[in-house]
Amino acid sequence: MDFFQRQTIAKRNSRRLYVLFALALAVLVILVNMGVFSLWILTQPHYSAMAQGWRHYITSPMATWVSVITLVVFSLGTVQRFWQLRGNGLALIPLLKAQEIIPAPSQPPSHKQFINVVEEMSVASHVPVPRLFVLPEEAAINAFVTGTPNQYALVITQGALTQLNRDELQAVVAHEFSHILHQDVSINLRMVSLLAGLVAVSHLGRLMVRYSVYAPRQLQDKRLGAGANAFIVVFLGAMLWVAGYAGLLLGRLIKAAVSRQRELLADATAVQFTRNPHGLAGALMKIQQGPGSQMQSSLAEDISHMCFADAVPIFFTRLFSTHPDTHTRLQHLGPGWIARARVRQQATPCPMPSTTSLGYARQLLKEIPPSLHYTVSEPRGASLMLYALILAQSKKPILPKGLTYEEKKTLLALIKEARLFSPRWLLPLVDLSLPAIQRLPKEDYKSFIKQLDVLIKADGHISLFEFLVRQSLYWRLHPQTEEPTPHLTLQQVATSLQRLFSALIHTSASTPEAQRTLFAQHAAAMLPNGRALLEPKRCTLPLLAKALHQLRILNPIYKTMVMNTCADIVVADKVIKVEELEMLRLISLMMESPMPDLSQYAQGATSVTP
Amino acid sequence: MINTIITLAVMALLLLYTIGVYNHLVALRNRYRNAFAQIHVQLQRRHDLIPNLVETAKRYLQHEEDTLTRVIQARQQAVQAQGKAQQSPDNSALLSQLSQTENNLSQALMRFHAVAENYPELKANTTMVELMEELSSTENRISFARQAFNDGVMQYNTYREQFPQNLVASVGGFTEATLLTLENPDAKQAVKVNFN
Repeated sequence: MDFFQRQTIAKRNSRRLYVLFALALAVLVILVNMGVFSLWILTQPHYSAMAQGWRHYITSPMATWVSVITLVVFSLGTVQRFWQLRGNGLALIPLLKAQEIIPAPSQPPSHKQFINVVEEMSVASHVPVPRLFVLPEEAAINAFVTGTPNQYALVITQGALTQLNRDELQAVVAHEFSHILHQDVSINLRMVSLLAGLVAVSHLGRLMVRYSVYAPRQLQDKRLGAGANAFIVVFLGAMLWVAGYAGLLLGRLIKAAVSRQRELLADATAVQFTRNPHGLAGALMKIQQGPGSQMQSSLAEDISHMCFADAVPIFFTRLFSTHPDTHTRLQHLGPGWIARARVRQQATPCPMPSTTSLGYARQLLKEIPPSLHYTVSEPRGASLMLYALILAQSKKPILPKGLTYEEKKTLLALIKEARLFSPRWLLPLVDLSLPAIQRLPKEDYKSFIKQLDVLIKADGHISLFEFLVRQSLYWRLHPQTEEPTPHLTLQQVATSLQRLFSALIHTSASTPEAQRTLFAQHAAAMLPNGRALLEPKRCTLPLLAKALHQLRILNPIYKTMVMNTCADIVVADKVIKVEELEMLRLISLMMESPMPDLSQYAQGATSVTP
Repeated sequence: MINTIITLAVMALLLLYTIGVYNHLVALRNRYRNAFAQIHVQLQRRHDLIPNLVETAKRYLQHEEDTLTRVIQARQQAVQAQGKAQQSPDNSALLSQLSQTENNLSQALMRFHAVAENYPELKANTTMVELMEELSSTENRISFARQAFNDGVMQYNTYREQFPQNLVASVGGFTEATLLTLENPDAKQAVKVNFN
């Protein structure tokens, strides 16, 4: 179905709803007549059969008068509200604290772009450019039009200007232009006025009830048969009241239904104008998954029907809401959009590195000489580099077996060089080597791992760095694909957590008091009562590895909490040591949880020390 | 007597209906004609922007004289072709010539954009950024105007060909309007891949 056809359908549906509105009015008149009839029948005792009485009543002048009076009250209410609202569209603007956007030489680029987009849509739709306003305080994504056929205003939120890209902005503007083109503002004005007519009928009823109940007693007593009269008036009033509200309820439902049809029409027209459903779908998805479209202004209710998307929260039921839900709108846009939206939603937002950490990373990469970058970019050089990084730690390196003469020479040179490396280069060099290692032929790779293990175990002690290198290789090259289920709770992993925090705290602080404070301040809250800091010999690397292995199947929600606590421990003393970084990397690697962005935790004073 | 009245009434209704159809046809025709005028307005806007663009870029692109000259030449030809096409809007040969020169201009501009990519200072220049936004906005407008013209033509043609409007249209001399199509022979050709 193309957008022309969808427009035809939406227009036809809106017309049908007008017919429904006329029916609602008829229901109102019939209800009022039934009320009067039930009184009238009391005064006509000789009608035994109700049906016969009804037939007589409906042909009597009484019924005509009742109907005419109801319709007159309805029309008066409608006309009164219509006059009240006419030409009132722009009066809302100052109340909303909207700022006008006027073409000026020194305006923000986003405003200039907005003006351009509006002018483009004006070309596409043959609609004159409206006055433009922005709501600077609204962060939600929304826009609306208001005004009279002579003077329209298009108002957009600041959130829409900053968060939508050009295509999406264009789609939103095109949607609003459709509201102008199809005169939805005046349709809504008519709808509101018709509702006011129904309200007027029920108001009249309420007045009648109030008057007879609260009117001074003497006034009633002076009249003949005051009691009966008062009863009649109260009964009639209650009848009108109820009938008016029943009509109003129907009217509200119909108005909301009309409004939803106009929104779909506007969506279809927006696609006609832009010929780009991606823009509209993008804007809808951003609303669905981003800041939403609900405005903060107290006047949001008054403008909700002209907005791009729901401006007020939905209460109770969608039947009364002015917009179809995003799902429906995407569905009408064409096949495939819902699936795309779902994919977008499932893609968990990855923590974006902040500019400071990016800056740090860039600086670090610049520090490392280009010759090293080159060495680690090919498989042979990368494996030699990893050998060298391990061997540089020991005084008397024993070279691995099976190397050619050339390779031995390169390795010895690399070891010599590696002894002078800044400690903060080590992790990045390992990271830079891994992609090339992955390209090693299978046989070479096996022998490489074997040799590396020999080197690591050569001195009878596995350092944190060695362990991290081994684990990085293992995890990068053998990714765990199966999803571990079921997830564990914090209670179930308490001992592992205790071990993890203790190991990290031993790396982080050196004095026993500092260690205890760190444990009490950060770790204790995540553990059951009574768990204390473990001694270093009870949280060695092999034990830690076991703990981390269990923590891998911790519920992901808690994993983030654990990672954040670790980050808190690391930055608590405002200094991030290289060992702490290595430890954090190991934790993140083996728990399969992203590294926290440390620059967000530490403010200013943090530095990475060698 | 009653028969006469009924006949008169029916005739009056028919006449009113015919007048309505005729007027609607006129309105639709004017709408698409106006849309056509819009295309010219936007082309004009693009032509006016280009000298500023070249002037700003000149300072940064001293070694790319060739690219700039090509843009200026393409603009010159497009301006001339537009002038001729506006004087006689029904001449299809002139129209296709205009579309050809506009395509050349687009290609020259594309080349210019590609070259400008290599000059970060030029891309950072605020005037340049504004001009680029204006230019891309204008190109959008041209395509929107063309699209609005085609939509207008489609509405007019559909209305004109439907019964009973086609009777009024043939008597009133409402001829079929033609859609604007992409008249660039290169764009329709399949892309040739050359591995040498």
